[in-house]
Amino acid sequence: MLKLTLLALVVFSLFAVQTQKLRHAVIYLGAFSMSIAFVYLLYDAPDVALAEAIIGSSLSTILYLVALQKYKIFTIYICVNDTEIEDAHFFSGEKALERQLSKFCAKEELEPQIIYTVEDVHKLFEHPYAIIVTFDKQYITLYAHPENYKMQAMEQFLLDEKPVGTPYRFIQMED
Amino acid sequence: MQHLISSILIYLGIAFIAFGVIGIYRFNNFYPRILVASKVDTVGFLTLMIGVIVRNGFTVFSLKVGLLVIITLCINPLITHSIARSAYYSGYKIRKD
Amino acid sequence: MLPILLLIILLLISSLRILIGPTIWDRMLGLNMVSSKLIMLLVLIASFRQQTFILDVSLTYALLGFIGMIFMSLYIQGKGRF
Repeated sequence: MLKLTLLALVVFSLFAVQTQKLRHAVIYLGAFSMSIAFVYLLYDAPDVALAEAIIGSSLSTILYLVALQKYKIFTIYICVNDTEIEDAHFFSGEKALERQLSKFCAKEELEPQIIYTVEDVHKLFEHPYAIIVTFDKQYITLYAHPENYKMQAMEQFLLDEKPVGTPYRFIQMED
Repeated sequence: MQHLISSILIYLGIAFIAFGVIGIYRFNNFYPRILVASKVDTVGFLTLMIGVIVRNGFTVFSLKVGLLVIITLCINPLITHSIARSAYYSGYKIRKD
Repeated sequence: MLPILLLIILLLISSLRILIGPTIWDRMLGLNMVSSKLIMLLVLIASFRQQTFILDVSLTYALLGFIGMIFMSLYIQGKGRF
């Protein structure tokens, strides 16, 4: 019983260290603090468990999120052509482009938020976005927001990397 | 007798929770997954807590467990609603109309 | 003791959803499930050992986990602002 929980502790802490996206690390740390409070309880230290529950699950989560506000959020919408999104989309197909965009965000110290959607491009323009990616047979089109000043750097980065398959087309939207 | 009823209720609750855990791997979309997880988890929680209350009889322990049941019945749907709302307003849409 | 062991195994299986979940909302769903299972586990342990103070820990878990999850989902919905 104790050993299983200790195993979970190791796994969560390793994932929290190795991940590139900081908001995922916050979630892993939440799970980590829950498991470690349970371990304290099994070691007959309920007062420490109480303190860990208070600090770990609410206070440190909120503190980390407030600190993450300093990071710029880079919202990327990826339009999928099929009628329904399934889990298979997240592990293949558009994954290569997503990985390159994540790499770019890590290099420029941005926090990527990648959202897969089936919605039409024109409806997506109402949301706050940084980049919208659409796929068709000839091009991969990247629409950039008018105030997106990272577009030049991203164009350069994507052209230097290994191409995904179809050529890119960059469109800077206007007001 | 009391012990037998409480054991049956506790195992029934664990069975409900196990169905919920199967459900989050059975479906391969986000919205069905959160639907299954929230409903079945709350039912399992309720059954298991009733089992614990029956096991202990009318004591201070049971009073505290009852308080916990009331709090969780309010909180669990709120959390699930908040997550689903966050996904919907961010534009994460999985099916074309 | 058997219900506790079963519940710990279920907790570990559902915590796999935190690690593999494709989107960030899946991870939050997994965190919610893990925390609710942990509350049940604490109540069961308190019932088997007849120790009332463990219930206080589980009450604290329930209330403070709620606050943390609500803050996290508001943060993601507001694109990085509260």
